[in-house]
Amino acid sequence: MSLLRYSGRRVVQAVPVLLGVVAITFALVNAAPGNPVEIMLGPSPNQAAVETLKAKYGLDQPLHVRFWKYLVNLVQLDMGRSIYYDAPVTTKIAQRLPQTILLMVSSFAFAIATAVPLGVISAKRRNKPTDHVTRIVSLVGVSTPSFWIGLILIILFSYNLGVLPATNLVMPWAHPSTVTGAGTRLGVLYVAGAHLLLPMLSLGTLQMAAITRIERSSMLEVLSDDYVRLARAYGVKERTILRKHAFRNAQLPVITIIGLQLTTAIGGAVLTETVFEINGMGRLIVSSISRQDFPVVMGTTFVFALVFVVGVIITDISYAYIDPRVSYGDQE
Amino acid sequence: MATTHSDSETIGSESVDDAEQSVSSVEARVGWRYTLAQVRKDPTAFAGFIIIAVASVVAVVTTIDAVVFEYLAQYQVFAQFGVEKYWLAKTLWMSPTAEPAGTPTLLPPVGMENTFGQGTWAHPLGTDDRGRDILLRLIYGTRIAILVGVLATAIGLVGGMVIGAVSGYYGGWTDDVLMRLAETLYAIPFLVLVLAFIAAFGRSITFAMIGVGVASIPKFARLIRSRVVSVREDEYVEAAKAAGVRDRNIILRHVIPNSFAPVLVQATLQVGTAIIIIAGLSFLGFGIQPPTPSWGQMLSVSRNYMIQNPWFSVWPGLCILITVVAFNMFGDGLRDALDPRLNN
Repeated sequence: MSLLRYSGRRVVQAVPVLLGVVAITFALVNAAPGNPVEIMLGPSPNQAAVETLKAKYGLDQPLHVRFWKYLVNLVQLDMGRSIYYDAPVTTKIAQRLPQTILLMVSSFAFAIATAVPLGVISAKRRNKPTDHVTRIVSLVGVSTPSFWIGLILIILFSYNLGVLPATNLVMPWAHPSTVTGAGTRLGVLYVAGAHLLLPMLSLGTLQMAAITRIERSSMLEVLSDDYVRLARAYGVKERTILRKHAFRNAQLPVITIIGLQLTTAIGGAVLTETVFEINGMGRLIVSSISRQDFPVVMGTTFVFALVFVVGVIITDISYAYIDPRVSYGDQE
Repeated sequence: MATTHSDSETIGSESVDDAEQSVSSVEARVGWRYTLAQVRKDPTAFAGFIIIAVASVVAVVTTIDAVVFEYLAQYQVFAQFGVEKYWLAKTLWMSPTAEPAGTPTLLPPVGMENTFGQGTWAHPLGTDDRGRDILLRLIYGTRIAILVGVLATAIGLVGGMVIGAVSGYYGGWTDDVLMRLAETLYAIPFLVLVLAFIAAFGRSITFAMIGVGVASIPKFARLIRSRVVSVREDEYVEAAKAAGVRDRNIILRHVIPNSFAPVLVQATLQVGTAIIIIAGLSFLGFGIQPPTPSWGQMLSVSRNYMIQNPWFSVWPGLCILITVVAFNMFGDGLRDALDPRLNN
C-alpha cells in the first residue's frame, strides 16, 4: 500500500516541475528576437494581413494571458498550431513520438542486457584481462559521441558490407502492405529489426558503457561488505554469494544511473535520428529551430521533458519496489 | 558509488543525490601536493593529464595564430612583417581555411586509394571536399573543442557556484526558490535545453557555448549546495561568524575553498561532456559555422561523402574520442586521489 502512496506522491510532485518547464520554454521562446508573423509574411507585409495572422495565433494578447491560455490548452492536449506545417502541434508530435520511443526503449534494452553481465563479470574477475578489457571498452564508450558511432556503423554495415539499411525506421506493428520487402507480419518484424539495429547500437553504446561502469563499481563495493565476507567465512560458494547475496544489493545505484542516463539518451536520440534520417521527435525539433517554428519547438521541448520526468518517476518507483525502505519513509 | 539512498522532496532529485554523494564524499585530504603526487602515480590519470596538456598547448598556439594574429594584422608595425590570420599555419604549411588551387578533393589518407586518387604524404590524412588538408584542420579544430569546452564549463561552474553557495549558506526560502528553479531546469534534457536556448537567441557558437554553460548550472549548483550545507556547520565557519566576518567573505574565503575538491572533479568530467555536446551542436549546424575548422562541423560535412571517402568521417570523431577520454581518465584519477576509499 505504501508503495502505491509513494508512487502517487511522486506523480503529484512532478506537476510543479512540468509547470516550471512550460514557463521556462515559454519565456525562452518569447525572448526570441524574431517575430513569427514577419517570418511568415516576409519583410514588408501589409498591416491587415499582420493583424489577421496575429489574431489567428493569439499573438495580439498580452504575455500573461497567452501563457495562461497555453497552459489551459496544454491540459487539453492542445499545443497550438505549427507555423510551418499549418497543423496542430499535437498531431505532429503524435506522428513522431513512436519512432523516438522505439529507438530509446530498444537502446536501453540493449544497454541493460549487455551492461549488467559485463559489469558483474568485470567485478568478479577484478584486475584480470577480462576486467581490463571491459574497463577500457566502457571508458571509450562513455567518451564517444553517439552520432560518430552511427556514422562509422553506417560506413561499415551499410556501405561496405551492404547488410543493413542506413536510413529510416520501420515500426514493428506496421501493416505488411505498407512495408516494402515484407509480405507477412513476420516479414515486417524482420525488416523493422534490420532497420533498428544500427540506430540502437549507436545510441545504446553510451548507455551500455555508463551502466557497466556503475555495475562494476557497485558490485565491487558490495563484494567487500561485511555480510559478503561473513558468507565467505562460512564457506558459502562464491557463485552463490555473487548470485544471492551481492547481485541484488548492487542493483540500487544501477537503477539510479539508468534514470539519470535518460537525459543523455534523449540528447543522443536527437543526434542519432539526424544521422539515420529517422523522422522522430529529435529531427522535428532540429528542423523546427531552423524554420523558427516556435510552437513546435515549445511542444517538443515539453514532451521531451515529460518523457524524462516520466522515466525518472518509473526508476524511482522501481527503486522503492526493490528497496522497501524508501517507501516506508513515506508513512509518517 | 555511494549506495545510501535519500528520500528527497521532489522529482528527479533522488537520482541526482546519489551521483552527488559519490562526488561530494571526496574531501581535500592532505592538500594539493598530496593529490598531485597521487595522480602522478596513477598511469591512466597521468596519461590523461599529458593528453590534456598537449591539446591545451595546441589550442593556445592555434588561437594565437587565428585570433591574436588577425588582431595584430591591423597595425602597420606587425603588418609589415606579413602578420595575418593563420600566419603561423601558412608559414609552416598552408591555411586551414583557404581552398588551395590544384589540390584534389576528398583524397584518402596515405597508402589508401579511392576514386579521387591515391593518398600522398603531402596530405597525410587526406583532403576534404574543398581540397583542404584534413590533418591541419583537425589540429586547428582542437582550439574550438578545448576553448569552448572549458569556457562552457567555466560558465556552469561559476553560475553553479554562486547559486549553490548562496542557496546552501542561507537556506530558507532563498534555498527553496533557487533549488526548485535548478530542478526545473534539470527536468529538461540537457541537449534539448541547449537547443531551446539556441532557438531563442540564434545559432552561433557563442550562444551554443553559453547554452551549454547555463544548462550545466543546475548540476554544479546542487553539488556545491550539498557541500556547503555540510561545511556551514564546521567550526571555522562558526569562528569566522563569531569574529564578525561578513557573509560574503565567509562564503568566498571559507565555504567555497573548502567545498572545492569534488567540484573540481565534476568540472573535469564536465569539460568532456561539453566537448561532445558542442561537437553534436556543430554537427547539427547550430554550433561553429564554416569555414572555421571544428571537429563537429567536419563530421557534419563528411556525412555527404561517406561512400566516396569514408576516412573523412573517421578522423574528427577519433579526435573527439581521444580528447574526451583524456578528460575522463584525468577526472577519474583525480577523484580516486582525493578519496582513496573509492579506489576500486
